[in-house]
Amino acid sequence: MKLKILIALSAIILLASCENNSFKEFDSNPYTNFDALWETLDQKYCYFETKNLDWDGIKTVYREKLTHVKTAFDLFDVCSQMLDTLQDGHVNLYSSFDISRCTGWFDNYPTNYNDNIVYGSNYLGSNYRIAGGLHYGLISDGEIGYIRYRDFSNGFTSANFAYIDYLFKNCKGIIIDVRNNGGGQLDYSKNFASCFFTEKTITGYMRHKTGFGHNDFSEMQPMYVDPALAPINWSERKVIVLCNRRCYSATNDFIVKLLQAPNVTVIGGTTGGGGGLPLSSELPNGWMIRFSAVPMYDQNHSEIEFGVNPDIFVNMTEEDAATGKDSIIEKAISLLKTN
Amino acid sequence: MRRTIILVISIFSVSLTTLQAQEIVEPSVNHTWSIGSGVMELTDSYLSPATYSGMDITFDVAESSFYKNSQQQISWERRLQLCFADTYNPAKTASINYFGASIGFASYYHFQPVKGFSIMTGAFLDVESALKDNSRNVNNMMSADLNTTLYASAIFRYKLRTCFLHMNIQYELMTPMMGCMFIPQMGHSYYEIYENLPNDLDQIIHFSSFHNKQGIQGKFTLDFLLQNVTLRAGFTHNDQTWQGNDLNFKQSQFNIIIGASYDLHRFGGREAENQSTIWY
Repeated sequence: MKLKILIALSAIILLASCENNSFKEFDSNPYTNFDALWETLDQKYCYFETKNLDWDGIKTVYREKLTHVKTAFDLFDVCSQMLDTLQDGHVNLYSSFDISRCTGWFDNYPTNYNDNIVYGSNYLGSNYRIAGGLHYGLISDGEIGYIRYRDFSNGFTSANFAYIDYLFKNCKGIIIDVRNNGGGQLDYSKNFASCFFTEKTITGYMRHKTGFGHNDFSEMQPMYVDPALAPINWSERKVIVLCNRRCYSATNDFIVKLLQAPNVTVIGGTTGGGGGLPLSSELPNGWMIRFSAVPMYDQNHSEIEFGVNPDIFVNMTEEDAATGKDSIIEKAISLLKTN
Repeated sequence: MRRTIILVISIFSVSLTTLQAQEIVEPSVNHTWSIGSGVMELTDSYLSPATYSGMDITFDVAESSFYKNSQQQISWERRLQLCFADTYNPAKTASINYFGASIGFASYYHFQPVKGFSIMTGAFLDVESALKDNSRNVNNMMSADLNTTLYASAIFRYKLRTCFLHMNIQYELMTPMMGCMFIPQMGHSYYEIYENLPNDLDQIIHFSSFHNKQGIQGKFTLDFLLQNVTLRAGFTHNDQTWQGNDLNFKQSQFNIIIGASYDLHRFGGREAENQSTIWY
């Protein structure tokens, strides 16, 4: 009996002290870190199948380059090159001396935005007002309300919207400009989008990895917008939303939602995508890796990782830009005034 | 009138004496406060594959007594523990702050195989919660431990009594038997958990037992019985691992503790020891 108790206690102590796959020591070995990076993504990145990537083949190509690695900078560059094959703005490697980033998703698209023009005398000017993360003012002789939302990391409150609504009460319509907005918090996207709906609506779906396989995903869960949570009710207002290729992540999600809103028209260019909610992990040398882990879809279960198209395509022209005009804002003004 | 006053005073005195006598029959409740500090290692593969380590601080409050009419053979204990730890990854480029709280209740049966040496065996049921914050992470910056666990527990106590020193040497051992625990799915974002909590409950709440949770917690203490209070010094160790949804969790702690123990009504130490209802 005593022996059995001893064996049981020993087994418990042994199990409790079992090591899992975690690492306890700092390790700067290039191969260890490269393999840890590759494996983390292999197990957790969500778009291998969607992008038809041969991740094993990519490993072979880039692991061979480690023979030339002599410094941390060299290792960082090899890892960054491997990550660039994912063509994903949500994939970054963070070290103490650099942050890797992928720019291919917007490099070959029209810019369709100019800060100097938007904040020039034809539109917001220098006397615009700021409410939370929203820059706003009256444009086109006070007939149109214009909101510039630069970053979904900056929030807003019902009070912010109440004052904006008061200023815009006699306007023929509202322009919401989210061009070059690289994203931020999904909650702000959801709350802002809720302003334009009359009832609780499924605007998309999301699912997550449940295992290490490239196709191990949960069931799709619906994502809702709920007017009851909206900071203001603008569902009856005529609204035009401006987007471009640099609308990414939470902004992409915002556009996906507003494409379904009854009185909203989206104009500009194709958004940048970034449909995968990113999570983080780290390497034995302390570098952090961010990667897409939770894919999101639109209301038809279609992929939004590569961006979504607006209701109306409009590009900025050089002629307009030369006279301080923004072709996309001008188009929005004309739509709001004629409808 | 005078006789009436004497009668009332007599009745009052008798009833007061009876009340006091009854109160003495009530088992005494022993209160222990202790603080500790030491090292913690934690692994939470939802937050990071790295093992984080650093300093921790713990604060414990415990109350214990015998059950009424148990002939001093069955006792109970209530326990509250708070813990804070500041831990770092091996490269010291990121940190996890740990905030933990647990509350539990135990019952013990007392044996005395030889004079001065007693063994207490029983079960300890507790509810544990902890928040782990890795501020460098994106969308998986927080991880929560939430579980209720039934532990098997044993306490070994030796009473050392000399002319100058009254001391108890005690070692307490606990191991988790069964319970339930919250574990997110591998790629679950907390945004998603929050949005879809009712639908995800079957994936994130797990029955726990030896197959997915193993551990051992120990506490070695030396209690020095002074005149009106008992001073405590010792160490605790805690090693636990649990797994689920392809995620691994591990927590190891070693703390040096100091504390004091006394009875709120009768104080503690040697004065209390002389009363038969005190449990130490």
